[in-house]
Amino acid sequence: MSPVLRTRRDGSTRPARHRAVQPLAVLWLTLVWLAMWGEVTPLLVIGGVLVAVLVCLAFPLPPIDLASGVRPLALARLVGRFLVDVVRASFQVSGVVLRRRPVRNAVVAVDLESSSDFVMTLVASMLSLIPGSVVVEARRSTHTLYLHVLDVPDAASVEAFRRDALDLEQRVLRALPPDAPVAPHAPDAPEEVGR
Amino acid sequence: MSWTTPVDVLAAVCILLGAVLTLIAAIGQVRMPDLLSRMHAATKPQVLGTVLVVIGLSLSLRDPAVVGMLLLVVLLQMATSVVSSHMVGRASFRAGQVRDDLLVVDELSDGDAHEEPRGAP
Amino acid sequence: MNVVLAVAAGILLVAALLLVVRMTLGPTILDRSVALDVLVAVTVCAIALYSASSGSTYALPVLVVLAGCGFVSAVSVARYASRSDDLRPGTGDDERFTGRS
Repeated sequence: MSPVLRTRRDGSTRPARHRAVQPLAVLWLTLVWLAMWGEVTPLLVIGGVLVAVLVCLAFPLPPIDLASGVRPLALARLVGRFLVDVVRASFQVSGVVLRRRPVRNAVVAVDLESSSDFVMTLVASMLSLIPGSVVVEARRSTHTLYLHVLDVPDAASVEAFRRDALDLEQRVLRALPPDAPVAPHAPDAPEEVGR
Repeated sequence: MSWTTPVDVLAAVCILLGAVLTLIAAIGQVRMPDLLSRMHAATKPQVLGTVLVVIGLSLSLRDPAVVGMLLLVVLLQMATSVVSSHMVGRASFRAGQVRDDLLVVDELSDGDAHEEPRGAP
Repeated sequence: MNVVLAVAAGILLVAALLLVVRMTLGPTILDRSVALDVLVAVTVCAIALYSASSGSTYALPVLVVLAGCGFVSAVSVARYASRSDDLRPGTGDDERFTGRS
């Protein structure tokens, strides 16, 4: 990886520090700074913004094309469902750990509908924390996630798991609708707006 | 008795439950047959266990200044355990350590060899 | 409260001992790094217990740093483990690890 150039997916390059300082990242880093100090004073806020901008310049990341807008209600539902799933996952795995039966696993491929790297990352990290899955391999070119699923007795539950994963992606897309049309094979995307 | 007693009880319950979940994660490390199954035990009960202990801690400290920091601990724990589990799982799978006899379906090895284009992660 | 904290500390001690067992058995370096990862989480819980019992907050930055940096060891081990003899030889060709990823 070159320090000044980054490679895009199609093989072309872009400068590494192009749009490196993003308002959202600066806001987040400033919040972390304030949380570490444990208090809010004008001097701390100014210092935090300064440090955040420096960090963004020193360690540039590609810009995130965050959605045309965040839908608060759908986002709240996503987060709420996610928290419930995290608790359920923990107890499910605990049950698997403590029982005597040997486990049967599966490696499942899930083709995501969205072509956005951001959505793919978000779905992958959420899938790692909710019931039964760890991401083994991710293919950016085909938007495919390969998940290792714990405790799969037969092929039917593989299908059920795949549906769950795609449902999760739909919830993410509903909360953070992307700018561009989702993907060529998702003709029902405009209908989602009304929900 | 004041309002602090129920909060203390809640904090104690959270801390105990968190410790038990961490113990289950450790038992999973010893009992599970292969590395990828162990990874499940290492991510899920462990994350919830840490989160519960931290919630219990903030309930027992009751200091608004530390809530931000503890929230940060929770977020970091969730974000980082995902990254490490993915990296270790991928290395293990690519090294061929997965036990095929435990798998019902293996859609990654079944597919033909796939070459990622340049710039792929 | 103190009784509860003592019981929780005992549970964490057992968990840490189990993890040391797994780190010793191990068969490969990846198993050990996963166990180490969980051990870091146990440490985080233990420091939280200490803060709760003493009522002091000065140990909390340690908590944040451990939660944020504990995964670095697992990631770096996973990244470079392919060159180690500890993984089963002859299964993965090195190109897949050392190439672009």
